[in-house]
Amino acid sequence: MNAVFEALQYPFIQRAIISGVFIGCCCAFLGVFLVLRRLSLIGDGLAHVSLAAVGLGLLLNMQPLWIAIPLVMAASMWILWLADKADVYADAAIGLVSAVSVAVGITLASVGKGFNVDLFSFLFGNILAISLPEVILSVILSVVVIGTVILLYHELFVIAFEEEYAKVLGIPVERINHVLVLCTALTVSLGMRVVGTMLISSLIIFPAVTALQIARGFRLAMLLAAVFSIVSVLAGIFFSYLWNLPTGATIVLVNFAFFVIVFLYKRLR
Amino acid sequence: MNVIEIKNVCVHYGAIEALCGITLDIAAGDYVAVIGPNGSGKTTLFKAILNLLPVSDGAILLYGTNSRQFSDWQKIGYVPQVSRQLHKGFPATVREIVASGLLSAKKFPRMIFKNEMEQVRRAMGWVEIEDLAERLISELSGGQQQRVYLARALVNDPELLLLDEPTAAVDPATRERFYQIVKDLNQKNGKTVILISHDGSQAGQYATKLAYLDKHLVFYGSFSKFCSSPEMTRYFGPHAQHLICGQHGSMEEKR
Repeated sequence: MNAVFEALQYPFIQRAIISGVFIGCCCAFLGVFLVLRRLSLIGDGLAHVSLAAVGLGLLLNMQPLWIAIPLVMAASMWILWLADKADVYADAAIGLVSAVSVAVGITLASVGKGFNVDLFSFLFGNILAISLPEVILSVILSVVVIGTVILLYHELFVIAFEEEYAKVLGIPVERINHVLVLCTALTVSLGMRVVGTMLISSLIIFPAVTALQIARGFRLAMLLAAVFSIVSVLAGIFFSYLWNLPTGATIVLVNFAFFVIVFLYKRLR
Repeated sequence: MNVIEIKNVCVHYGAIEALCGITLDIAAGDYVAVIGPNGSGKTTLFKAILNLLPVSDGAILLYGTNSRQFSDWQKIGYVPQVSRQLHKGFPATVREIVASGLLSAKKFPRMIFKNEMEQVRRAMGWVEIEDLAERLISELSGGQQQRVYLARALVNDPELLLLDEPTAAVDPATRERFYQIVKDLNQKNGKTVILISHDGSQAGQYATKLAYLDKHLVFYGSFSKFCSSPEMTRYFGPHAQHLICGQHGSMEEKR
């Protein structure tokens, strides 16, 4: 316990906790809707786009997050356009955009030979190295995402349950879908500092899937997902500090442990 | 007063004609059964009425307003054709699903307030599912789920109900109970009902009018006209027509 209090004294731990909790909350809320709509892999696809954005940012000597946010949002719209207007299946559209982005990322990494170490930190995350401006940006954008989800909660709920019925209710389904995907793009861009582009989709999927195992009600599912996510982030940060483990990977492993415990509890109950 | 006026409507899926030349009026208080073979355009007609599909020709008027400009969607309750598998594992409770029907009467930001829960309770009462309120939708039987969707359609106390094969894949006793509830809503609460069914004889037990679709409107009128129509005898054959008319006749006597 002393080690925990000791860790809390360090500003870099405080920054990691603040940004991790906010971004974890965004991932959990969005994750419930994305998982139920079989769109959970959009997080993975957009994470690959963020890799290209990081490559570009490092090549241009700019803060990668500033490049990643608009680029990933644009890519999310491209995926929706391919799926809605160009008659490409949604999973194929995600794969297509994701593959192009990885190719661009690798090419940029190859051109700018000197930044491979930095790129590595974005691949696997480095929340302990997050700067104060990044924390402030993460909190502001997370509040925007969480506020949007709360404001559109009922619309998102009906669309997740039955898209066609939502249209009958007069809900602008296409517009809401755009908002959901844009919020996901924003969250993925922010999350690459927490667990890295390789693992960000797990932060979206795990808390939601774990909560959906036991939730008896939609609001409860959202709440449980947020709790699992926040506890995983906090535990991941402390375990990685105590045992000198990679933080992003530890957060994901704690998420996985929650999933296994809840899964077994549900089956053995 | 006509609730729906369908004027020479055609609907196409790309180059394929799904429906054409449909003209019919539905008056307040009617109970219309829409029957026809697979692919005859029954669900397409509903989707056109609900503005989910564009009409390629003609017009649909809802309460006198073109469906494209219509905005009083709370006047219409819709029970879609739903596959049970679609909602497998969905974590919503019955109360949450029924409450979601309230959204049709709202504009952004759509919020549901605590005082509106009385409407939810009343709708659940109409279809006798109050005891299921906290159960998950995915845990219910097909018949119970259909009653939940009917309660969701009723939550705004709509004047018109559109039911798309609501009793597909439920057992006969449940089906009978469901039709009884719909009949009461029509006769006691004055709701206009349009019901799609594969089963003409079942639908004919309660409906006052029958619309037979086969990409075109083959027949639309009262059951007595249908039963005495030699043209329909030629179309259905005497056996099938007798099946529908026999059932309907026995219900008419009960009324």
